[in-house]
Amino acid sequence: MTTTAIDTEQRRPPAPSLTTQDFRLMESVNNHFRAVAPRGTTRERCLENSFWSVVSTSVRPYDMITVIGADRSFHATYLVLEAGLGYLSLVELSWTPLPALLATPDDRLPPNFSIYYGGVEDGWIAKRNSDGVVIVKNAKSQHDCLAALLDHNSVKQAKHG
Amino acid sequence: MDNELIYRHLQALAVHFVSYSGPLPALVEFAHHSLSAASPGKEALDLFIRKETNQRELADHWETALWQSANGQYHIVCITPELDVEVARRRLNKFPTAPSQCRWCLADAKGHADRDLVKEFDIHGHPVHRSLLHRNCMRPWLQMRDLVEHADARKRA
Repeated sequence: MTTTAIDTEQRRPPAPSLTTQDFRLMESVNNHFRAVAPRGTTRERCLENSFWSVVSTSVRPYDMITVIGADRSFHATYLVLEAGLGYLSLVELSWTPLPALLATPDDRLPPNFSIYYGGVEDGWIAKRNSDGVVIVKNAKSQHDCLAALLDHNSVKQAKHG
Repeated sequence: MDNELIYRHLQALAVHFVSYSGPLPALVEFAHHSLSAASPGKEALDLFIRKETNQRELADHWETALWQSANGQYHIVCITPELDVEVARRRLNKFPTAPSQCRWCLADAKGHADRDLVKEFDIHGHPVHRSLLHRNCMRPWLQMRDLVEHADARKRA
């Protein structure tokens, strides 16, 4: 007796069910580690085997590693593909450079400007050094003063122009 | 009573003294003198300084920390973060004379150090040796650390 294509389709067994071995507590696998990378670690260095050689036996495949720079310059997440004595393969899931919390003269504060406290009447003041013109006056705090300065048209024009 | 004006004068006090600790009447006297004709009176100022919402407003928007420590003294500290990298680096490397001093405001908590001061923790979560600070002084101190770390990272790049 010949079987039709439709019959074969119906008789094919379904995909096997999960067994207890396939089903484990999240806490025993899929661990999430946190690493603090030493100062000066680059993005490429994080993916090199030798960078992880000492700790590679502590992780297992499909673990996650969150790396933060000791100099607070980046935050990254990696997925472990294989791990063992002296080797570790990773997939980079994210790599985010972190901004500084503060403005520094060579960072966010534009050149040729200075911020200082002018007393009760004037509050925090931002001044252009070259001609002494006061750009922001009466700001509540240094932080507000800097925000107002960066929002000011003359600074925006200088940046784009 | 013009709250903003009082905030302004308390901020000016903090910037002037950098860090001051003393009894409340002395602080009220300073504020009263600073406000002169605009002062709402010493009793009103006394209440104003004690009020927690005012202390929080000062810390959040005026970069001025104002609080009462365990020995009953009132502290007013300027918590404007340091902008100069070299100054910040020098401050981070310098330790106060007594181990019970706050590293930011240098006020000595003496026998109350365990209640007033908290340990500073580094990025690994380990306490920094001999580094104790007031909770109110912690933010500008950590910002100063961040400032130096980022400046060094930029120099290397």
